Amino acid sequence: MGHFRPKSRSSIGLLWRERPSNNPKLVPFTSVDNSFEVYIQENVLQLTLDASLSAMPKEAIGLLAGRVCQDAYGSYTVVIAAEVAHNDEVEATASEIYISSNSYSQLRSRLETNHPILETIGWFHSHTTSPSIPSNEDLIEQSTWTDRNNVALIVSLVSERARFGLFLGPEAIPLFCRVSLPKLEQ
Amino acid sequence: MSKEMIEVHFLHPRSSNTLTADVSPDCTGEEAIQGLLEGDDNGPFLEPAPPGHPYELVLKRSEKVIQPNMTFEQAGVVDGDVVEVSQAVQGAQLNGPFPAKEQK
Repeated sequence: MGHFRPKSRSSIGLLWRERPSNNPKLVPFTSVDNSFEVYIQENVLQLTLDASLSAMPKEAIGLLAGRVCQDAYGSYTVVIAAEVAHNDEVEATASEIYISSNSYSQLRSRLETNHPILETIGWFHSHTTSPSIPSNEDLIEQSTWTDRNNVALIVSLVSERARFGLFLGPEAIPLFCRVSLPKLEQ
Repeated sequence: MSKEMIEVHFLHPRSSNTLTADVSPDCTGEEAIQGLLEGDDNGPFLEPAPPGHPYELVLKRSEKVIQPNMTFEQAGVVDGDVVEVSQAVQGAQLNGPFPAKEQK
């Protein structure tokens, strides 16, 4: 194409670090076959729950930040921060939520300003009246997160027992928490 | 007389990946997105966007949207600028269906 000539690319290399299995502040989620693992900082769960409750009766949405790391067993994702979309950045009802590409750009800039050395590695949103299982629209959204280490977090306000659903990669592979979830304030 | 190409850095909408390209000032937003979909020897930089999730180009310096039919010159893009590829985000309850938003 005469008007557009690609020259080079860059991407972040994976940080080589043993997985933080013994860190009590990081909640581990694993796929059924143990081939994928995500660690979420406890305060990210608290922050996303708080945002979901305060947005009620509408849904809440935001971005997740962290790093993709690797060790001898392969790659894994660590989520250590979240940035919640402001009311004026979303179109939300009790059943769906939407951020325009312009507002997404603002939200992402804010996340990068607040967490300058972290990557945007996923998104979260709340389900006010349904379980933490992705809807068809959620699956379409997750297919746009094309890296296999990207995560989608769904916060369900229906059941405290199944509060958080975590899904990995563009195929939205379900992950399960291996430990008791920390007691969160509500 | 052809205009001098400018170097532009494109940011991926969902990752920290970047692609640097030489772009003609006459290149439109639509042509640039097509170039990013075609990519380079390493493959596409962008995957085809699903319905309701179109790509949009945003000039980071001015936060101005580069419309599909707007040239980079019209958008004020200069050599060394950073252009973010942005994309709407949408979620919905499980008990849909909820049709995808129209492109704005």
